[in-house]
Order: sequence, then structure tokens, then C-alpha cells
Amino acid sequence: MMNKATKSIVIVGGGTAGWLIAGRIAAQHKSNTKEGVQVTLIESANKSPINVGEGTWPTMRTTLKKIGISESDFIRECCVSFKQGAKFAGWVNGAKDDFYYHPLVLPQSYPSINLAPYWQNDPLQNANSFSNSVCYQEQLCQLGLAPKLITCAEFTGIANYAYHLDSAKFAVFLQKHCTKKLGIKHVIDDVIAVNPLENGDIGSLTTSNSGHIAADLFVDCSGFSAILLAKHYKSAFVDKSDVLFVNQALAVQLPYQDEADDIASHTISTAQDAGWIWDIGLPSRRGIGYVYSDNHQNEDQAIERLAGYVGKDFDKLTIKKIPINSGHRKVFWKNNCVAVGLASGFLEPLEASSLVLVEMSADMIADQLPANRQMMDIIAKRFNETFTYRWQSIIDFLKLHYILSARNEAFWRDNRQTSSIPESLQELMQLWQYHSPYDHDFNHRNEVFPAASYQYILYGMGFKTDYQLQSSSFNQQEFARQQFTKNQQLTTKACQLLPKNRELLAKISQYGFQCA
Amino acid sequence: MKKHLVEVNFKEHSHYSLLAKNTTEQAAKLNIIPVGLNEIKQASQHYPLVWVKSSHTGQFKLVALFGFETGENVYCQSKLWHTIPSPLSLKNDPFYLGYNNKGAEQRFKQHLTRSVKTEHAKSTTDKIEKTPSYNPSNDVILCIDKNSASLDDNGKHNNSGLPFYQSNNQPSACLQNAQRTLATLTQGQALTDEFLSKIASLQLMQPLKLDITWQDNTQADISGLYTIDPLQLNLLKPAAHADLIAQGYVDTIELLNSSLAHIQRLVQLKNNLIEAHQEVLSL
Repeated sequence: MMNKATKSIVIVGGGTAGWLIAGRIAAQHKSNTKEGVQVTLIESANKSPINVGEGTWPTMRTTLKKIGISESDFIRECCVSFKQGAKFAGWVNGAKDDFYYHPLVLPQSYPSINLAPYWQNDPLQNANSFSNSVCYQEQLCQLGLAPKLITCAEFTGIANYAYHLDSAKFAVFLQKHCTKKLGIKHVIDDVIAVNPLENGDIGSLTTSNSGHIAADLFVDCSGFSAILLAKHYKSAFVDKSDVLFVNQALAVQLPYQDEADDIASHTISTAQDAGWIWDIGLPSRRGIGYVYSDNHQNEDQAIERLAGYVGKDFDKLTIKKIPINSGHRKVFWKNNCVAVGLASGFLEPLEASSLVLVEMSADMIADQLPANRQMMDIIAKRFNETFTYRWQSIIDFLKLHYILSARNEAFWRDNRQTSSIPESLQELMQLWQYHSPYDHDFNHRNEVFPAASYQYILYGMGFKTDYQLQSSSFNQQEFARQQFTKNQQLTTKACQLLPKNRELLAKISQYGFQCA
Repeated sequence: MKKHLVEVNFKEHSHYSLLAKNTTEQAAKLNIIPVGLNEIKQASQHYPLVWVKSSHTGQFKLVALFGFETGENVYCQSKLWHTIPSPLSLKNDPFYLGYNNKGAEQRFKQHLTRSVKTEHAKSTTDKIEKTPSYNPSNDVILCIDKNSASLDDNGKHNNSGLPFYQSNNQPSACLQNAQRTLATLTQGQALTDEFLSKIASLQLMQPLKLDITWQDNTQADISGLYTIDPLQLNLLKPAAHADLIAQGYVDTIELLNSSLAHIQRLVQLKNNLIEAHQEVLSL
């Protein structure tokens, strides 16, 4: 029994998480051959998936490549646009000119030099924003430019990039690829019972019409209901609403006024009095949503804020309400069952962490797929440690955006209460009083955000590190100055070279990227 | 200058003539020049043939490589230009083809490529497809670019050019030649497109990186060039490989890849130029 090889996997749930996991495992473990691991995906006949994620990380490029998807097809069929980071508006004080960027391109010559102290100490540089001084991508975003050219190969670019996408279309697209090319068995049915073995493992699932479906490993991608991990195994939920206060989302889809309107090349997050509004530009429409705390604002007021942001066409739109229960499972992998996607937890979409966590889970499951049942407990232990750390890091990073604000509404004041700030983040903030975030702060092999991301947020929001005590150690002035100049040159060059986001997307839909 | 294309007709263009063109002057400013698949048999014996991506559409085009940077033609600089067959795409101006309606271009191209395929089929399997009767003049019109410098529209140039029309008002050899050149060019383009779509779908294209250290120790990283990967070709499934052979594409690939030997010659030519330049400087 303990030496039984892992030869079959059942995934419960047909949303983006389910299909991404299925695709990654099937592609790596050759499910379309006799010797390969057999993958079955059970999609509920009655419940439609939530498909919340509309923003990805650059990691999605690698994920799609590994699954064997063509970037041109993906862009055409999933209503995709390019994402080069996030613009945070109104987060510091809410003034009209209050904004900063978290771009995807690392600071110039990172990590051979940490430019943060040189930027802060050089009046010529700090007259400019941190992101503009060290990275060319803020300008690309401001001008609505694409990260690549039509001559670039698939999945490669001039500037680092991720995607915005229509997640419902993405799930359908993945499903088609997974079933046609990767040999995944697709069962549309409802799971009505879980049949445990003596050792507590899941032996099989009983479905309404397809009988019992057995497997060696079960992946729970059943969304918020987490029918295997939560309902069957009763894995506890670690509530984080005491750290991250937003608990409701109101989402709308807004058509463009004019077909030729610019498509933003970044996510725009605009702070409100009790939360923030996301604004994501797809080729056909914008996705806009207000995430807020209903402890600080009632729904009517929240709808008013969203209406104020959207403008005159708001009355014609349908509002979708999504509750946000911030937190995650205490244990993600129990016995022979692992939860991924919303079944494993959920956080506000401030840094698009939802799909990236699915990809990271898929990587770990596919790369370290336990050879047999005996190995599974070791891999499960590792998985749980890794993902507990990752969720914690993401929560810290999200909270960082709130505690640096100087806004005065109750929601923002409450966010700065020490009692609401995780100790791990408090510790980092103490360190960063005297030195800027760098790789020594994040040396875990399972890091989610690089130190550069913390720099972009800290210095974007006006945080000042006191370098006086260590001023003697900054002896690379000349090299630093060269890097600032180099970044300026790159900015000019990239702005001249790159086409408008909409122009490139139109060309891709006409010609596609030719493969080499 | 932007092209201004109009249909050639006796009424408006009876006095027009074509001036002698200096294609060498034009070629001297070009490091790549498009070629068609029907030119490669000859071309591959004289210069490298590679693929580049069009900056406008991102689609591959087949080009002859004459230099390593924009505006550089090493064959011209080395006074070797007149010893090689020049690409046809330098020869058509001021003449261009126009199409009468939607679908006309496709029909015309099919007509042009059909004859080639029939010829190939004859030599390999002895199966001869019957060519349906087709009259190109229903689909295609001959145009000129009114802005072209090679036109003489009022005999200003002492009638030194080739007149469009004969004294009996019939099209002259000049117009007939133009039509032939354009048909060959269009055929080449169509054959290249067909070949390319096959090659791209099999993912046989690979980037060609050239790291060159010149005579004067300066270095160049040349990118943006592509070739067909012979290793990938050998890894194809037997059916796909047989299909390529049947279409004559394996021979095509061999011709294209054999032309790459001329890259070494191009490097040598450029090094000679650098050396000559250095010698002049040291005098």
C-alpha cells in the first residue's frame, strides 16, 4: 500500500485553478501516453466557477509554455492584454498627483548594485520618483505602450510583462487544450460522497452519474466550498481579517467609449475611503471593482464610490458581489489530498496573488509529484511549510501598502494600528528604518516577492530609510550615477521603440507571433 | 516618397517612357533585400539567404544578406555587385500589380504557383494536374508609381528612355517585360508564403546568432536572423518528413542552408574592407 506508485490524479473543479493544475501535471507527466500519469478533472454540472483572477504575474508565461500553449492563440482567445505592473493612485494622501508604480522590471543593474540608498541621497535623483529613477517601465505604462514588438518570439519581450485576461474564457481555453492535446479526462458531474480508506486517505469519489472515481492523489480546486479539504477533512481556516480589512468586492465590466481608446498596460489601483478600486483594461472592455471593508462603509456608500469612479454609464452595468474571506487553510495538503486556488484560501487582489499561487502550487505538485504513497507524506509536509510561508509573505506584503499610507479615514487609521500588523512585518519595518530592503532580507528559497518589490512600495510611498549610521559603506557613487544615466537612456529608447498596447494587440490578432 | 499607383493605359500614358535605372546605387544602401523562393537556385550560389521578421507584421520574410548593419552592402563596397545575379525585387520599380477585386490576388497567385507544382509533380510522380483555363487579365492590372524617379512622362529626357507604347499604339517590349517580371516576383512571393507556412507550422525556424570579432577587434552581436534548423528537420515524424520531400521542400531547405556558407565570405569581405581602411589611416 505504502509503495503504491502515484499513477492517477483526480482534480475536483473546472475553474482556472483546476485546469492550470491539470495542464501542468499532464504535460509534465505525459498523460497522453500509456505510461503517463492519468489525470481526470471533475467539473460540477451545477456550480459555475468563480474565476476571479484577471491579473497574472510574469510567471504565467513560463506556465503556459510548459503546458504547450501558443502565446498568440492565448492572447486571441482569452481576450488578453499586457500587464507591466501596477499603478497605485491616492494611496499616500489621496491628492490628485499622488501615485506611484510597482513595475515588473527590476531596478537597473539589480542585484549587482542596490540603488535605493544612492537614489535617496542624491538630490538630482530623488527629485524623480524612485521607480522612474531606476526603471524604465513606469514611462511605458504612462504612455500606454506594449512591452514587446510584433517581431519578438512568443513569451519573450523587451520589458518584463504579465497578462490581464478574461478568466472565464481562460478556463474554457485551458479546458480545450487539456482535453484535446494533453489527454486529460473531463467528467462533468457532481461529487456527492467522499469514500475514505482505512488510513484516512481518500479512496474514491462518488458522483451522481459517473459512479465511483478512484485515484492516488486528489486535488481540491472546488473553490470557496473546498469540498475535500474543508468539508471532508475539516482543515481549519486561518482567518486574516484582523490584518487585511477589506471583506467585500463589487465588480462591473465597462465597455470602452471608443474602440480606439488606449488599453492601460498596467493594473490601476485607486484608494478610496474604505478600500480601493481595481481597474483592468482588456482589449474588449475594462474590469473594474471596489474592494472595501463593510465594517467601515455600508454597501450603498460603496456602490456610490464605485459609481463615482465609473462615471455616467454606471447605471447600465450589472454589479457582481463577491465576499472576501481573507485567510487560508492551516494545512493545504492532508493525506492524499491537496487544495489549490480558492479552496486553499483567498486574499484581496491587490498584487494579483491568486493565480500565481495556483502556478506555484502546480509547479511544486508537478515537479515533486510523490513517486509513491510513502513519499507523499514528506512532500505534503514540505508543501505545507512552503505555502504557509508564502501566504504569510503575501499577507505582509499586502499589509505594507496600507501601513505606509498617511490617509486619515477610519479604515486607513485602523490599518496602521500596531495590533493589526503581523510581527514579521513589524520586524522588517524596524530593519528598514536603517537599511533598505535587499536580498539578505529575503533569502528563503520559496520567496514570493523579490526585495525589489518592497523597495518599489516603500520608496514609492515616500518612506525614508536613515542611512547616516552607515554612510561610510556607500562607496559606489560613480557606478550608481552611471546606472541612473543608463536607465534614462533605456527609458528614451524603449519609449521610441515600443508600439501602443492596442496597436500590438491588433497586430497579434491579425498575424500572431511567428514561431522560431 | 509615398507611392502613387495608377493603372497603365494608352490614353494617359502613351508618351511615357522608362528611364534607365541604377540599381547598384539603390542596392548600395541595403543590407538585406527580399528574394522569392523561385530565385534561390541561382541566388544560393552567390550570397547568404536568411529569414528576418518584418517589423510591420512580425511575419518571416526571405532575404539575401549583403551586410551586417543597416545601410551597409559589402558586395557593393567590394565592387562585386555586378558579378552576382541581383534580386528581382530591385527590378520592378516603377511597375506594380493591382488587383481588380477581392479574391483576385489569391486566384492569381494560385495560378502562378500551380504551374510550378505541376512541374514538380511531373518530375517526381508523373501525375500531371490539368491546369484549368485562367485569364489573368480579368484579375490583374499593371500599375505605375507616378512618384517614381524612373519615369519620364513628357519626353524631357530626350527620349532616352524605353517608350511604353509602340508607334502602332500597342504595348511595347518594356511593358511586356514589366509584366513578366512582376509575375515572376509575385510567383516567388506566393511560393515563399506557402513554404513558410509549412515551415512555421512544423516549428523548424531557429534564430541565428552571429558573434563576430572584426579585424580591428571591434565586436558585433548580430541578431534578428533566422534559419531552418536541420536537426529539427531530422527529428520530424516520418509522415511529416515524407510530406516535405513530396513537396520538394527538403531540396529547398538544402539550397537555403547551403547558402549560409557565404556568411563566412561576407565576413571576410568586410574584414578586407576594414583592413584596407586601416591601411589608409596608417599612411
